Amino acid sequence: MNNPIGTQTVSGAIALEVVIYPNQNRVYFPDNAVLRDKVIKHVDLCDEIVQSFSGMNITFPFSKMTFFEKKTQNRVLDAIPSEIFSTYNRNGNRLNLNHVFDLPMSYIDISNNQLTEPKCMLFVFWYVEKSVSSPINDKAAISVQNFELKLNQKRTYFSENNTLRDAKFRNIITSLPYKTAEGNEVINETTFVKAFLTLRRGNLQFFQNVPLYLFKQDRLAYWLSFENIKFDFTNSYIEVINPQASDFKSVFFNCIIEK
Amino acid sequence: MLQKSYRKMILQNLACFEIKIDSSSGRVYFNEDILHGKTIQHIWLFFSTQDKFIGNPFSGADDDSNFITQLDSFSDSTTFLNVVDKNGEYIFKNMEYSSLVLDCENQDNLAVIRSILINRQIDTNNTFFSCFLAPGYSYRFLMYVSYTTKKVEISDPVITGSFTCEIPILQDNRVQNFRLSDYIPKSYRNHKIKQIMCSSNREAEDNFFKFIKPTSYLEIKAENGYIEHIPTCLLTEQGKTINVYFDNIKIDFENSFLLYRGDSFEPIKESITFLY
Repeated sequence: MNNPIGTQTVSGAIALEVVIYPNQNRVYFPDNAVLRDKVIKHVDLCDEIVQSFSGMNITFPFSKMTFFEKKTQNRVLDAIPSEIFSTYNRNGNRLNLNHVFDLPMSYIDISNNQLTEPKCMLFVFWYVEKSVSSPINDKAAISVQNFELKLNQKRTYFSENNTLRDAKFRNIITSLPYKTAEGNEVINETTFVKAFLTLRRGNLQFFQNVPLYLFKQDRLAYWLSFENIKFDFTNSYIEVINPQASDFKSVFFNCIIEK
Repeated sequence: MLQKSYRKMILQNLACFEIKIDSSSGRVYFNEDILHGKTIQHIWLFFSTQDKFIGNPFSGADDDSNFITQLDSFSDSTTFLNVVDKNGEYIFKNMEYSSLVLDCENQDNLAVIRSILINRQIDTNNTFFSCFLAPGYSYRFLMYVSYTTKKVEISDPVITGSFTCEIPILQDNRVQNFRLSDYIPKSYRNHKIKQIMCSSNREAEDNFFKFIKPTSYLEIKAENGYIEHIPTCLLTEQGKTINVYFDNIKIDFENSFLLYRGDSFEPIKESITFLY
C-alpha cells in the first residue's frame, strides 16, 4: 500500500475509547453521537500514552480494523492493520480519509487477545466541524503567536487572551522547552502523556479529550492543519489524569494564525 | 484539501548566520543588513547531533570554533525566536526553537517540509532570540533564512539533463574546502540548475541505511542567486516526501565551494549531481 502524502485540514477532533475485554476477538466501535454524521479526515491510534482520558489503561494488541461507510455500507477499509493508524509509526503522515463512518458496524479483530483485565484502545477521529471554522485564504498573511497555561488542578481552564481572542487558528503546537517564554517551569514528559486538551466554542466541544502529545509536532513529517478554527479560551481546558503536585507546572504553546 | 505549500520547496537565495548564545544572553539581536529589503520566505535553525558530527562552515580551524551544538545537548536550555515585519507586527512571537530545527541526521528533512512560509520583509533590527540557558553553558548553531529578490523563475520541474562530480575527501582533516570549478568541465557550466543531489560513499556501520549522509556544506554563487552554506545532508535523496528546487540558478563554479566539515577517519568521496 502506498503511503498517501500530506495532511488534510480539519476542524474537529474527538478521542474515543474502545474497551477490550479478555478473550474478546471482535470488538465493535461504540456509537458516538458527535461522530454520527461527521466527515472523518484522519484517524489516529494513540499508542504513545499508557492511560486514556478516563484513567483506563491502554492496550495495543495486534489487530485489524474494518470500517463501514455509513451511506453505502461499503467496507471502506477492510481488515487494515491497526499499526497503519499508530501515531508512533506514522510520524504525522496520516492516512487521508473523507468518509462518514458507520461506527457501530465497524469493528476491530484481535486474533490473539491475551488481556487479563479490561483495557482500551484509544482513537482520535479528526473531522470537519464547519461551525467553528472558516475557509483558508492562501494569500492571507500568517503569524506565529504563543500562549501558555499553568496547570493547578485536575482540570485547568485557559485564561482569557486578548491577543488571540477570535483568532483563526491554523495549528496549535506544543513543546517541552526548558522554560516557557514567560520563564515558567514546563511540565515534564510524565505529565505530558497524561494530559488531554478540550477546546470549546460556545457550548460546542469540538476538540474533546485529545491527548496533548498529538500537538507536539517537532519530529513529525507533517504538521496538523486546522481550517481556521476559533475557540473560547475561558471555556477550554487541559485535564490531567490522576494529578500529583509535580504535575502543576506550565504548558507552552505556539500557534499559527491567519491574519 | 491538501496543503500546497508542503509539496515543494524552491530556493532562490539562502543566507546563513552563525548564532552564539551563552548563559549571559537574555536576548540576542539579529541585525543583519544582508536581509534588508529582501522578501523572507523561510527560517530554519541547524544543529549537529550526538551521533553525527558536522562542523561550522564559518570556521577554518579544527578547534572549538568548528563546533556546532548537538541538538541533544540543548535540552537544558531553550530559545525563542521573535521576528517582526516592517510594520512592527509579529511574524513569530516566541516561536520555540524546536519547531524550526533541521539537523544533519533527519531522514526526511522534516523542517523543510513543514516550514512556515513568511513571504514578507522583516525588520532585522527588531528580530531577536530570547534565551533561557542553564548556567555556564554556551551554544553555537546556524540560522538559515531563504529569501527572494525577484519573482520565482522556475515553472517546470521536469529535469532535462544532469552532470555529476566526485570530490575526494582526505583522511584525518575536519576542515577541507574544494572549489567546484576544479571538478566540473567547462562545457557543463552554462546550464540553469533546478536541483542538486549530494551523497557520500561512506557506508553506515550498522548497515541499516546503506550510506550515511554527507557532512559538508555547499556555497553556491550564481548570476541570479546566492546559496550560502547549505548543508548537503538536506540535498540527499533519502527524503522521500519532497525535493528541494533551485530557481534555475546559473552557477559561477569558479566562486562556488564544497566545504567539508565532518569526521574523516578514512578517505571517502562526496558526489554532487547537478540537474537542469
